[in-house]
Amino acid sequence: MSTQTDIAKRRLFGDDGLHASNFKLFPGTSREKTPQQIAEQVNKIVTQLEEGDFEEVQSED
Amino acid sequence: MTYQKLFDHCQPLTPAIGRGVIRAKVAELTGIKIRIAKTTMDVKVCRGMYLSARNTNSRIVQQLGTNVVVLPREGNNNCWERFVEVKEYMHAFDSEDEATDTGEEFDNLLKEFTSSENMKRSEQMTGEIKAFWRALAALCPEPQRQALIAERDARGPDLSDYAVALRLKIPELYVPGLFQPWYEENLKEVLA
Repeated sequence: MSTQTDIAKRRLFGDDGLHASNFKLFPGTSREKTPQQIAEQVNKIVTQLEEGDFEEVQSED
Repeated sequence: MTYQKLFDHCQPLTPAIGRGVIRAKVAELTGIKIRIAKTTMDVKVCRGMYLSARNTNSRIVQQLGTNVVVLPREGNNNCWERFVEVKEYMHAFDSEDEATDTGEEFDNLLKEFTSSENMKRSEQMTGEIKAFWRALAALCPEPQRQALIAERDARGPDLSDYAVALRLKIPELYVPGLFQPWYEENLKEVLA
């Protein structure tokens, strides 16, 4: 069974994925984060972006 | 070297420096046009992400282009959101070695962010640390920082971290770093 990290790596870097040339992150507020939790967020966010479930913003301030 | 040009551009500006100003200059200097999307990202796990993708068949690239900063809809106040967003812009200056472009590098980066053990620092984590200091230096120009140091020397604790954070519109958590003796060493490294 694939882990969240395996799935995220496929989606970001796999042949059928995004062909990501860079990925970076700003860690969240919890001190108890795990790689699997971060990967789970990556997978959720990639799905949301692919499905158009986002608001594009142009922050100026 | 390119970051030096952004740094120079920010020096005469008066805080709080707008994200739009920095984003436009990053695009001019690097050719990287960054778009920003808000999602239901869990701020407990991530405050923001930077993603460069090359697959033009993907719906993400078709909808948002090749360089995206993703932020949570909720959980970052204005100061945090500004800082996180600008830090993610700074990845436009990552070197090829600092970019995370393989699964192995992704694995290592996640481990470095979550492990309590001392690990050998990867190039990708070096890119993260540089982006942090680059963001801080862009949002607090040197003349302003020197003026704050002088004011802090004169007023002592009457000039609180919170007051400085409000002027610069950055997280209060990062204000003490502006006054540390190693700040200038870090600045030299990110300008090199």
